[in-house]
Parts: sequence; C-alpha cells; structure tokens
Amino acid sequence: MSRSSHRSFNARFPLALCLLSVTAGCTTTAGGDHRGNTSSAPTNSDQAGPNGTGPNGTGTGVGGGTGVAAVAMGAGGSGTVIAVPPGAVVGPTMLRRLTNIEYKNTVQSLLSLPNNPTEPLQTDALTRGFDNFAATLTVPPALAKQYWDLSAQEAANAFVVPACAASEMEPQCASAFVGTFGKRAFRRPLSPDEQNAYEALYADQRTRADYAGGIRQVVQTMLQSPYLLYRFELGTAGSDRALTPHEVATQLSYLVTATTPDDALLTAADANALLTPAQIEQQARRLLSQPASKPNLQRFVLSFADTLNLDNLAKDATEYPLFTPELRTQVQAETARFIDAILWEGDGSFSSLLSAPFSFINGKLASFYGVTDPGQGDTLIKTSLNPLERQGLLTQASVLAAHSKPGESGPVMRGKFVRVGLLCQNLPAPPPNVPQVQPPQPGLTTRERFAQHSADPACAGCHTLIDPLGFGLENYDGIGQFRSTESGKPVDASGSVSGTVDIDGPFTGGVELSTKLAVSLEAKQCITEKAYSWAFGRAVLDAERPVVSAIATPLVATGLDLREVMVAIAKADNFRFRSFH
Amino acid sequence: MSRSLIKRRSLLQQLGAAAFLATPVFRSAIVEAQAKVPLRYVAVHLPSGVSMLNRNGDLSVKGSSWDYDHYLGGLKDIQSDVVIFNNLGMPTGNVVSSYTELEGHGGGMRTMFTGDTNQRSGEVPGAGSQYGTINSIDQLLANAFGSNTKFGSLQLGAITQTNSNPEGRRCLFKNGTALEPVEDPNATFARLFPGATTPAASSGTMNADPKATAELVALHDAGKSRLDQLKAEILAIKAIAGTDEQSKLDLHLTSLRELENSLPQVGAGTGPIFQGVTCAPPNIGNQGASNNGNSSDDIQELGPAMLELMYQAINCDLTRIATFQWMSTGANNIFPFLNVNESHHGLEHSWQDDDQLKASYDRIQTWLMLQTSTFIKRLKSTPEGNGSVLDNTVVFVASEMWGGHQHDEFIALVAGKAGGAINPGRTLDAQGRPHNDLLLSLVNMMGLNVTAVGDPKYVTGPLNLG
Repeated sequence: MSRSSHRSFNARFPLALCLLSVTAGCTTTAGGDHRGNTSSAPTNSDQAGPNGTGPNGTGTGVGGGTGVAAVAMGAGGSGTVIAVPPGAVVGPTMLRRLTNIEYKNTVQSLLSLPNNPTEPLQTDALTRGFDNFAATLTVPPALAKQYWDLSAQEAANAFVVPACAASEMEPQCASAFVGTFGKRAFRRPLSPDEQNAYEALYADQRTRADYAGGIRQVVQTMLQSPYLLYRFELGTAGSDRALTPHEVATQLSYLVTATTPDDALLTAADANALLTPAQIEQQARRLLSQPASKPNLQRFVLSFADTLNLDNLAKDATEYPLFTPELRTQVQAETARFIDAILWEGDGSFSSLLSAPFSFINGKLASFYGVTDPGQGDTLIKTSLNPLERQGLLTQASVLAAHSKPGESGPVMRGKFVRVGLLCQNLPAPPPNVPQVQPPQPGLTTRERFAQHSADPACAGCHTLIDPLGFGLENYDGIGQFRSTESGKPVDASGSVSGTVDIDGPFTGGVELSTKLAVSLEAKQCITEKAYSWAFGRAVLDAERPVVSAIATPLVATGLDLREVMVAIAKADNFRFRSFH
Repeated sequence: MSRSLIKRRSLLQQLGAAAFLATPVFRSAIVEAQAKVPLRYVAVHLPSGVSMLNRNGDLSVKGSSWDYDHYLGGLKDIQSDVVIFNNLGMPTGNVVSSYTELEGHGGGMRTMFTGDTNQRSGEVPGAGSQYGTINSIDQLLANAFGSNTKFGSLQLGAITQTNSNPEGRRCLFKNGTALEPVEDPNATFARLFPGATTPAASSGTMNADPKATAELVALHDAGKSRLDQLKAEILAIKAIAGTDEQSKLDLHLTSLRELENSLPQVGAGTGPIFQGVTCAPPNIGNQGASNNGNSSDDIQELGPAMLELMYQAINCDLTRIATFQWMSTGANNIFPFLNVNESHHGLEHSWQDDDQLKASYDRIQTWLMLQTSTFIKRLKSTPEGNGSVLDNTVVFVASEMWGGHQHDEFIALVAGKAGGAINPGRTLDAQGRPHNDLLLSLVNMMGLNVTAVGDPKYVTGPLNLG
C-alpha cells in the first residue's frame, strides 16, 4: 500500500479548524470520527512486510503483527491451518441480522419465488444513511412476529413442496430435504445435531399433518431460524481467526447481491475454494454480473447520498404544491435510473455520478426540470440537461429535496451533507440552545437570513465549514427546482470549499461544486470508506484506515469505479479474518 | 393470506370468537422461560367456625387435635402440602380487649379477609360507605397483579344467599365496596367460557366441535415445536457468541417467548399457560336454572360445580386470584343429605352442649372440608414446570370464628408452596399473634411489597412460613 497517500489524506484536519476556531458555544467534541488520529492506531501497518495490507497482501509467513493466529478450519476446511497474515488489521466478529431487503431477497431465493414476499417488516433504522449497521439490527418482538407470520404464509402458500416418490420413502425424502434446504437456508451444511433436530421437527409435525405439512414445518422454522436471520462471523476456534469458507461465501454474497449465496458460491465454499483473494475476486466478479447486484449497488449509492428512505419525505404543500407523492415517486425513480445507468451502462464511477451531464426524464418530470418532454409518457428517457443548472446526483431533485427543510431550502443541511456525507469529515453536534435562524419573510433571501451564522462568533466556528458549501446550492429551492431569484432578489449562489485536501476554493452553483467533488481524491477516499463501512455493517475503525486507503489508492486515479471498490473490499484480508471478542 | 390463517379465521367465525376461548388447549412449556413463576392466591371461607375442639372447649388439645384423621381427613394424603396455623388472634386477644367491635359472624368474616377492625356495625344493609375504604387482601393483590389475566380476581360461592343479612356473605371488599360472591354455575360458566355450550344443554358432554378443537390444538403444538427449536438455536448461539452479542440474543429470546404467549390457546389470559394439561370448560353437571332456598341438599351439586369452575379458571389462567365462600355465615341451612336437620347456625351455638349436636355439626364441617380438599388436590394434580400448580399457589382456608363467637385462638390452613415461600407439612403455633400478620405474609409472598395490611395496629410483622 502507499503509506504516503494514506498520510496525505490524513495530514490536514478540517475538524480541527472548527474546534480551534469555535467559541464556548461550539465546543462539543467530534462524534465518532477520529480522522487523522493515527497515533492511536495499532502499528500493524508499520510492521507490514512486503505483502502488507494491500489488495493482494495475503501473507504466508508468521509475522510480528498483532493478529497472528493459527486456527483449524471448520466445515469444509478439513484441518487446513490458516494464519492471519502478518500486519493484517483484523476487525471484530459480529452477529449481523439480515436487513429487510436482504431477508426478503433470501426468502425469495430459498423458496424460488417470482417476487419478493410482500408481508410487511418493520423499517430498519438508518445509521449514517445506511440500513445495514449491525448494532441496530436486532429482533424485537414486533419483528419476530412479522417473521413468524411471513414464514407461515410463504411456507403455506408460496412454497412448492417437492414430491416424495413413495409414501414409504417419506422419512428418507424428509431427511434429504432437511439436508439440502437446510444447507441453503443456513448457508452451510447442517451439523449432525441440526439435521437430527429438523428431522425430528418434521416427524413431530407428520403426526398431525401430511408429508407436505411436515416439510412446511421445517421450512417455516428455518425461515426464522437465527442461523438464517444472522450472518455469522464466528469463524473457527481461536482468538483471531479465519472465517470459514461458508462464512466468506455468505459475506461475499450479501455484499454484492444482498441475498443468500447461490449454488455456485456454496459449491465453492464446499470445495474450500474461497481462500485466496484471487478465488474471491473471481466469485465477486461473477456475482457482479448477476442481476441482483444492480439494485444492491444502487442502494449503496442511495445510502451514501442519504436518500434511502424518501417514501415519507413530505413538503409544505402551501409552499410547494408541486411536490405531490406522485412527483416524489418520479424524482426517486429518476435518481434510481440514473444510478443504474452510471453503474451498469457507464464507467460505474463516483466521478460520473457527480459529473454526468444528463439524467432520465419523463413527461411528469420534464416541466419540473424545464426541459422538453421526451414524449414517451412515464418512461424515463436519457436527457441532456441545462449544463449551467444540472450535473449529476448532487443536483437532482431527490437529493436536494431530501436535504432541505419542508418549506424552504437548506443551506446547512446541504453543506453538512457535502462535508460529512461526501468528504467524511465530522462536525460537532450543535451546542445546546442555539438561537433560531429567523423564519422566512418577504424581502429576505435564505442566504441573508443565515448570514447570522457568520456574524455570530458562537456559530461561525463551525458554520464557516458548512454554510459556504450550502450557499452554493441556493439556486435550488426546497424541492430541488432551479430558481434565479428568491424573495424578489437574484439568488447569490457563490460558495466556497475550505478545509479539504484537494478542492479548496471558491465556486458558484451546484454544477461547479459537483465538478470539484467529482475529481476530489478526498471524496473518493470517503466513498471508499463508506463502501467499506457498508460492507462490514459498522463504522470504520481507526486501525482500518490504512486498509481503506489501500483499497482506494489504485482506484482514485480514475473516477473510483464502485464495482471495483466492492471487488477490492472482498479481496482485502479483513474480509476473511476476524478478531473474536 | 396463508392457508392456515384462513383456516383459523373461518374456524373462529364458525365457532364464534367466544367459542375459541372455550376450546381446550394444551399448556405450553414456558415455565422455564419465565423470569418469575406466576403465583396464585386462593382463599376459601368456611362458615361458622371450625370444630377443632371437643365439646368442652379444651384448648389444651388444640394443635395436636388437628390431625388428618378427622375433620381434615380429605387432606390426609397431601398433608405434606399443608400448614396448620394454630392459635392465631383476630385481632389478637393480647391486643384487643373487646371483640364486640367485630360484630359476630359478619364482622368476623369481614375482618378475616381484610385485617381491618375500625369499621363499625355493617350489620345494617345499605350503602357501601359504611365500610370506609377497606380492601380485602385478594383485592390488594388484584389491584397489583390482576391485569395479568382476563379476570383480575374471582369471587365465587355456593348457597350464600340464605342468610337475609348480607353481612353473612360480605368478606371481600374493594375500596369499601363489598364484592359478593357469584354462585350461579351456569352464569359463571358463561362468564368464564363465553360461547361454550354448557353441559346442561348438551347432555353433559363437552362443548367444542372436536374437529375444530383438534385443529387448534395442532396449530398450537406445531407452533410450539417451531418455537422450541428456535429457542434452542438461540441458546446454542449464546453459548459461543461473544459478550457483545449477548444482549442481542437475549432480546431475540424474549421476542420468541412473547410469540409463545400468543400461540392459539384457550383462556384468553395473557399470562403463561402450562405444560401437559388440558384447559377446558368443566363439566359442571346438570345445574338448575336458579338456586335458592334453605334446602341445602342443592349444595351437593352446586359446591363441587362452583369449585370446579374455580379450578378451571385457574387452570386456564383466566385468573390467579380467587376466593370461594361456602354458604353464608350465620345462616339456618339444613343438610338432609348429611342427616343434619338442625340449622347450621343453631349448631354453631350449641355443638359444645351435646355430643349428638357436635356430631351433626362435625358432619357439615367435615363435608365442606372434604370438598375443599378435592379442589386443593386438583391443583396438586395439575402439573406445572417441575411440580404442580399447587406449588405456585397459596390456598388460605379459614373461618371467622369458632364456637361461642370466639375470634381468638383460631385455626387457619395454608396449602401450597406459593412458589417456594412456604415450607409446608407442618403445624405452626402462632402464639396468639394477630392474624393480620398472616395476611401480610400472604400478600408478601405473592409479591406485594407492603409492610402492613388492614388495621396497622394489629400488625407486628410477617410470619415466617419458609
């Protein structure tokens, strides 16, 4: 890996600017981010040998790093001993509950359903825009009941029980079914005890139902089994440990396709063929070619754009009568289609997401964006937009509306989104008792009202890092429509970027800001970090920042191909090893 | 919608939702999963004293005379589950110089279950305010724990109306309002098991459509099998998961336990139902439409029927707090079926005078205790967890006085272990301590953390029954 590039991303501390310049009103410490705090990181990277922690850094020797462990492989491993590579940064094991999307995809796959089950599941909480952070994914009573009902309904109505050739063969048929279905459901072969338990469950139900009823009982139970609901990362015995091949398969499958491993992946795990980065890369690329990877990576982009759950986004109907649920649906569809186009019809890069001069417009969106109706009804058609007004994700209505207040634009929300969401810089929480910015009134622009932030020294320390970013987006109102005037005055969309590694300086308008971000190494590093965080369902550890840098480094020279980011994460040593606490 | 849900819904519509409640169900095994075993309090009132003394009133034989060969014969084979309390005071003669304030039978039974003495008179039927704000201990418990079950508490009885003076049946109070017992088996059946067909209307056979019943039982059992498997898996994971994940798994386990409580089952109680026993409306025999009059022969049917209803209410977890009143105290019932044609009240005041009268009196009291014993044995024979329902119950049996309107040095029985709070199989000499101390002990062992019940003047502290 390139340690120098790692350092370069951490050499400057924009947060320190905020903290140093704040007055008593803004002294809250940063929440969670320890960017640049390299002194506290374990020294693994310093001890890394030639193999280091780079994408291909599978060490083979016994190193002096902190995470060396020789562990026996579990299922499928038959005695192979795998040492944690020297210098590898090993993250903690976790019990990750499937997200709702992952669970429904899984059930659909296991039962060979044409569509996702439609039964409701309570909404997964978002953490930093992501719905897959392990800490929040639990099984409270309400959700357990929903799993209970869903599994009952799907097992009874949707699942087709394979026929058993002859009634006298039923126990053997059931046993075989438990083995094959169980392996797919649990993503690993059942242990003998588990096989017996599920055969007994079948036999028990068979006393009160027919053969199919007995099989459905097995299915219904497995669909809500903790072995299905949680992604296990228990690996094999020992302190720091290698994940089992089946655990690697599971992690890879959910990372790329948000569903349970397919047969090819399970077969690879059975054959112990998910050991090397090359083997994993081969599978990752195969999965990226599967249709399921499309909505999954789309969700990743929506997540880092903090626009994952917009279904309840409401606007002040008096101020924005245009923003009906129908329009909201349309702008969401626009963004989704746009992301797919960049990822799968273009170069798949972060840069393109922020710099593409087109979007996808239909009859309902044409007037909203002030372009000619492409004339194909509701179908979204690739359309060039006014290059002075629109360019890429940041200037799309869904993203802008999501980062606005109900009845007005949101320079603070938008500025914060850029700094925290796209540059991964953290800001302190606002101090208590902040004075209210004066409400909208005729004759005063939003920018003028928020000028108080720079005038009041209690606010200025932090808001000079926020507001100048958001002011540059003032050409877009609270629902993302372009405006040249506000309150009878021309909009002042001049802004400035400060405290960054590589894009400091003035800009005017969303297009110029997007262009800056699209080429920013810091932004690309940030998105890589978010992808890593998404892959592991938790915040990035300090000690892992070199790993993230190593993943990003080969990719930031171009536009940061998000598909390649996923492959690189899967190839990293961290993907296969865990520290057990 | 799933086929099974459709089936269940149509089944319910077919039966009527109420009938669902009346369908037998097998208790599920969640005792081990309960953080705290549910406890039950049952009181039984025997009227007009208990004949533990010979007719000379020889106090020296008390205690030793309370063997299981006579009056308590029905309890002989479960005496290891019973504590005999000897020499309780109401309030203790050591504290109160005059018992006149207890006003004989009515005041006695009122005080017996409330521990209160400062209310006066009450002999005059009328507004509840005459009782102030007193609460019987069952109502203290119901107030604290009654929301756990469909019926916070039950007040049942048999032939309690024969005494024209309502004080003869008023021993339970809620904030000064008397709660008189219900004694119509048919009405009680309908209240406890709404929609179920009464045995009277179906020639004594049980109610529900057997096919529908079987389907519900199958639904329950299949669900329980799934939950057992899921719980076992969580526990297996807990054994190998790191400390960080334990709380997550504990929450999951809690969620599964809540699901277990929601399995289709009879009883409508929100509390746990227990293993291995069918809860069902009882066969209460062919009861008449109404019951009145002094012909206490009816009690042969009514008493056991009402006790069986009380048993099933507990068995089905419809309630955990119940009181049963045998007849009204101070009433002139006769008992031809026991060859007793003297009035009960008359015997109370005369049994010490004559061996023949005492024999008659004994026959009544022995018969009443025998029925009560049958009820207690039903609890004893109902499995729960590793023991019986009786192990998690306290049955408090008492009368308001013994011969000659005496309230001191009286006897009480306590059956059951109350979840381990009681170490039974003993005779305990209370040494004249006020019976409020026993009442306090009872509510304490049910989990109600108070330091006094009733009139605090007569509380010296809980008795140790452990």
